[in-house]
Amino acid sequence: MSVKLILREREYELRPGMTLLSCLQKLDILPETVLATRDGELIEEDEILQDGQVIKLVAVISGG
Amino acid sequence: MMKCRKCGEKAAVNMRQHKLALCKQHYLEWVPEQAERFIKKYRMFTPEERILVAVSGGKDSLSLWDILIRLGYQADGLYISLGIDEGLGYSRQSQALCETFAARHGLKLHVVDVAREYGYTIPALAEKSRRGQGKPCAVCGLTKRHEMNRIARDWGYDVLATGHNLDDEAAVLFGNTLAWAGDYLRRQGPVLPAGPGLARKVKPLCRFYEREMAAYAFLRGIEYIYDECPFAQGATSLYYKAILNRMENERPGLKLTFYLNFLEARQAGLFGPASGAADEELHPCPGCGQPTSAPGLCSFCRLVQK
Ligand code: SF4
Ligand SMILES: [Zn+2]
Ligand SMILES: [Zn+2]
Repeated sequence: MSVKLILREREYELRPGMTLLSCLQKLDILPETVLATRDGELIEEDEILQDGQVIKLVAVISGG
Repeated sequence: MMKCRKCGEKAAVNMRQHKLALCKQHYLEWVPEQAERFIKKYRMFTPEERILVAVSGGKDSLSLWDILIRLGYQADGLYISLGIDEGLGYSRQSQALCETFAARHGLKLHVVDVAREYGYTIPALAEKSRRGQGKPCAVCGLTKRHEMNRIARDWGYDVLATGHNLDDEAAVLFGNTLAWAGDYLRRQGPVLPAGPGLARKVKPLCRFYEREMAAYAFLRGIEYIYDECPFAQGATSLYYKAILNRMENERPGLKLTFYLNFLEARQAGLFGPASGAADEELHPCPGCGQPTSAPGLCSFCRLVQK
């Protein structure tokens, strides 16, 4: 039972049933710095993540 | 479930700073509408003027080009090849993405290869100058500025547009405020007026959060370079952005207020007369003809002639 979140080369496994926002907080990722996508669609912070889902996080902040 | 304010469908993007959530379709309409509002509000350019958009292959500049074209402006692209490879082919990939974008939309893209023009790539130029061994960003910034001005002048563009977003502007503002850099504060804004031999410079995305631009690029399906320039690591701008985002997280809208209140204060003259490029004594550089503040060669010509 898990949800997988991927950010750049890193993968995180969390338990299902939490909102995206709670997951990001658990991982210490500021919601402001990422877009969350599932199956190529953007999802928002109140979305509850279910078992087996893979969430790809797109880093939005660039430097230089 | 978060709903689109316009149609009630499931929202794709929620912007806490605007208390606004929108579905994909309405978000893709909202962004150009807002951009048009800012272009008019700050009197950036008109449909009659010719715009040169500096594109890097990143999400902001390609989205900017996309938005300007959709709004019906005459915008050509400029890609400056910096010759940054570092085993990742960074410049080559960025250029390919710009070329693909231009070809797909039937747009004109100027490509300037720094190594072909001046004999050195950016990392090599930085290596041979005292300005930045190991960290080529100062040399890179100077070169990009110089080349943008040169192409805009040689090809007769009225305006030079860059893809700076609100996070970029807020980070620069944060740094300039920490340093109380009055001269820079006075000049920072959505528009830098034209000077002798210099096109007007504008930043149509300066009120969009970086996250908003990433969402636009994603939803529009714009292919952009996702990896950072290898030299961006440890950049001060990233450090300031991280601090600002931590504050934004606690207080949605803080970045925007910081920037907008600054613009108001600047307009009110808090940093002195809000003039632009032409406010100091400038001389044309004998090498390239671009205005420079000290007599003799400009810093770019000194850099490449050494
Ligand atoms: S990070 Fe530095 S070297 Fe890389 S593109 Fe930006 S300014 Fe140039
Ligand atoms: Zn809608
Ligand atoms: Zn010069």
